[in-house]
Amino acid sequence: MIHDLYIFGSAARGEVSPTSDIDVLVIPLGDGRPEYPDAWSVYSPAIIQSYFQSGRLFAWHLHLEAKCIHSANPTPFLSSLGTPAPYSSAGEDIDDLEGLLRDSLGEIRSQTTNLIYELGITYTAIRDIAMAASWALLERPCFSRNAPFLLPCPCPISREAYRGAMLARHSSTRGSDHDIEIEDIAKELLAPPILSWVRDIRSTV
Amino acid sequence: MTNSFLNKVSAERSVLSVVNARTSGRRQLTGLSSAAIDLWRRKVGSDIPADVVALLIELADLCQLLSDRSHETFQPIDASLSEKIESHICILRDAVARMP
Repeated sequence: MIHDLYIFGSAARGEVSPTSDIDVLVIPLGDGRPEYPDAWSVYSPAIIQSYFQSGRLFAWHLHLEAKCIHSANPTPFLSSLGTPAPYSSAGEDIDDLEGLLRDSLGEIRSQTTNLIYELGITYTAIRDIAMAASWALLERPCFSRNAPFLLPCPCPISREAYRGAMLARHSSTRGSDHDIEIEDIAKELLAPPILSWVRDIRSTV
Repeated sequence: MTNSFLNKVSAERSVLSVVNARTSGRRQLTGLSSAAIDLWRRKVGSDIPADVVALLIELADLCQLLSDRSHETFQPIDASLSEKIESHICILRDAVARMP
């Protein structure tokens, strides 16, 4: 196997909590279709390069935070790409994520049987909206899970509800079994004007 | 940015709705990661027929193909992927209906 390996995300930022995991990025550099653990993010060099060229937020995330832990070459692949193009699609990204958030809140409001899944999607949408907005609203883009509370206009939900929704997402993606009061979290997410917050943010991006 | 993720969420939501119509509340299937399917198997226990689990694993793989992480990296986009997922969901619906 010939590949570059990186860690990114909370561990790479030094943000550690009892629920932290380690995000691993693999860039396979050889022929064939190698196999890696399910939880690892595997991207071909061509795709990563296209993300850098188009200035996707994920490219900036990697550029600013990914730490190379193994490289097949003297110069790690990400370093060879230089700086990504400016992130110019924040508005479109927020529009997409607002749709995702609106759908998910609608499912929760209609008492979906998939409540844990939908709480997790709500968390993901809120977090990613804040990350996208941070490009314009903060001095440098913020990829922390706490990004919604670090903006000049913080998300109007309680940190407890946000944390509960995050644990729901971990249940979806990692199969973790936290003892969370999902009905209470749902109520707390539905009460505040989250969509107004998104519109306010969107108007500044 | 998120179109592939939006498609994946929509497909996963359809799959979960079929399962959670039977096993809701504390026994709900929380996602289509292999870890979430394992968690669900442990919670529901011996009531789950093997074909239901096999179908969920297949559907999880198909949904994953909708996301950035797989189809944009190594596999060509399969134009019939949505139809394949829909057909698997129909089979899953029948299999879940036969659950004790």
